[in-house]
Amino acid sequence: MEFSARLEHDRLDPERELRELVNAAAGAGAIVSFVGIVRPSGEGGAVGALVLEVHPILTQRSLDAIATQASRRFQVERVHVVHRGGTLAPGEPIVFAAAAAAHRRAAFEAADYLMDRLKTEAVFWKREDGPGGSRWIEPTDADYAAFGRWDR
Amino acid sequence: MVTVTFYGRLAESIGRKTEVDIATPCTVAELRAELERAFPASGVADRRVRACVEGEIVDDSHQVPAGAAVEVLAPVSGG
Repeated sequence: MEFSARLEHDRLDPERELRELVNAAAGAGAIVSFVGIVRPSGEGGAVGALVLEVHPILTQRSLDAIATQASRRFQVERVHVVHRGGTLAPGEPIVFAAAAAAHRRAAFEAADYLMDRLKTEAVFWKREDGPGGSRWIEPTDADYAAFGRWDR
Repeated sequence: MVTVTFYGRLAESIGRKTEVDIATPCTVAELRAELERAFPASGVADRRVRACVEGEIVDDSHQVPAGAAVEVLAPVSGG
């Protein structure tokens, strides 16, 4: 039921984060991880940069809250979340969300839950900058629907 | 005078920071109304816009004293 949630302003290294979780969760039978990556294009066209604006207090606090709730809701030994802030280029990792558990079902569900919460509630303001201009991002209907299924 | 710092698309349309000349103490609701008046096309009237004082989200009834610093947050994008 431990968690680690970190806002990262430098490049996120998913392999290093996974290694860290594996070491911290020695004895777990299952580890599930997700990596989100900046796509080369969005609804506004080609993406030159993804800008993730953060709040000096609320962003970290939202990551902590989401990771805590995942660690309590599922039979997991450890939850590990790292989320970028700042300016990212296409192909760069944005988020690493992972869970370690005795058994795989809890690990899969916790990682799935983490991403659904992060996509709707994490305190970031995202903007895609490209040759076609800038576009502010909001959670999609699909994001809200995915988040809503955890309430059932 | 209240100092307001904006986050998200509000900072793009209004600017990162502005001084609001308003009689204090005032409520957050009154401050929001003044911002809506001063920046009518900015998106600050969106009901999902939240106010934050000293790291805490506050509701419209929250009292804002003279010289206070208030953060006004556009709807979050999520991660």
